[in-house]
Amino acid sequence: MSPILAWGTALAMLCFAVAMLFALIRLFRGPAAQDRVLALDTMYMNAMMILLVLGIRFDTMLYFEVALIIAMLGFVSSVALAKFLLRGEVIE
Amino acid sequence: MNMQWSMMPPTLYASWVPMWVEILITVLLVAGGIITLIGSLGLLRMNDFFQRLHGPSMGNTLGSMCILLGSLLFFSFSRHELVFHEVLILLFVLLTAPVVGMLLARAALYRKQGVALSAQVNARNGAPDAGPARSSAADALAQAAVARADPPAPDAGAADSHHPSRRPE
Repeated sequence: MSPILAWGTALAMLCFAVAMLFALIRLFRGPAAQDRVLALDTMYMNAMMILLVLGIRFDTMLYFEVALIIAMLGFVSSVALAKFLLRGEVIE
Repeated sequence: MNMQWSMMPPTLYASWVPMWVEILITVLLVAGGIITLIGSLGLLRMNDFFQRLHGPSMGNTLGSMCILLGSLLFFSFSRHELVFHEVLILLFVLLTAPVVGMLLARAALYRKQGVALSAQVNARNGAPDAGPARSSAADALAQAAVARADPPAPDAGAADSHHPSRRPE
């Protein structure tokens, strides 16, 4: 692996970290509850992509399963929160 | 090649892929990072919630597509076999990101309608006790239907409350 790929992964992770920071600001500042849910959704997607880039950088396929679990649990939690905002309860 | 490996840190530079694949992976990774950053910037800077919804959903979908394609290329070329694991996450993200966006948009629409309807009902009844925290859109619609029908027909009110797409007046 040449330094090109090392710099590319570093730049991608920097972009994801800044994107997570923006989502965190929106999470603290969101005027309504759905803004905060959307910010949480963005944050778990960014965490998943950071783990995938770390898997490329450390040259291991161990992080792939972590990313898959984060994607599935994040989707379930986002759907549960949206359902709670929609109905007032999650399972009716 | 082996000399080059021995001079580099072992965790960072363990496996070898061709040069053009490295350049392709780097372009994909940087493009995915920048697209995701633009999406999160839209989440931070837009004014309305329905404008804010566009940035992260499209940016995260396209960014994760780029990242997963780069990861698939890297592991396929470094392991010398076709690695299909990333396609799983790719399909999952492509299926679930529109579902989350649509559910959140619908929840925001219901909450906006519910707050407007309960304010309308409070203004009509003159009783500000029914706060918007508890009342969902269906409750507010049922209240509005009951308040609208002067001789109270409970069947008509209950039947009206099953149409959540009905606009207030």
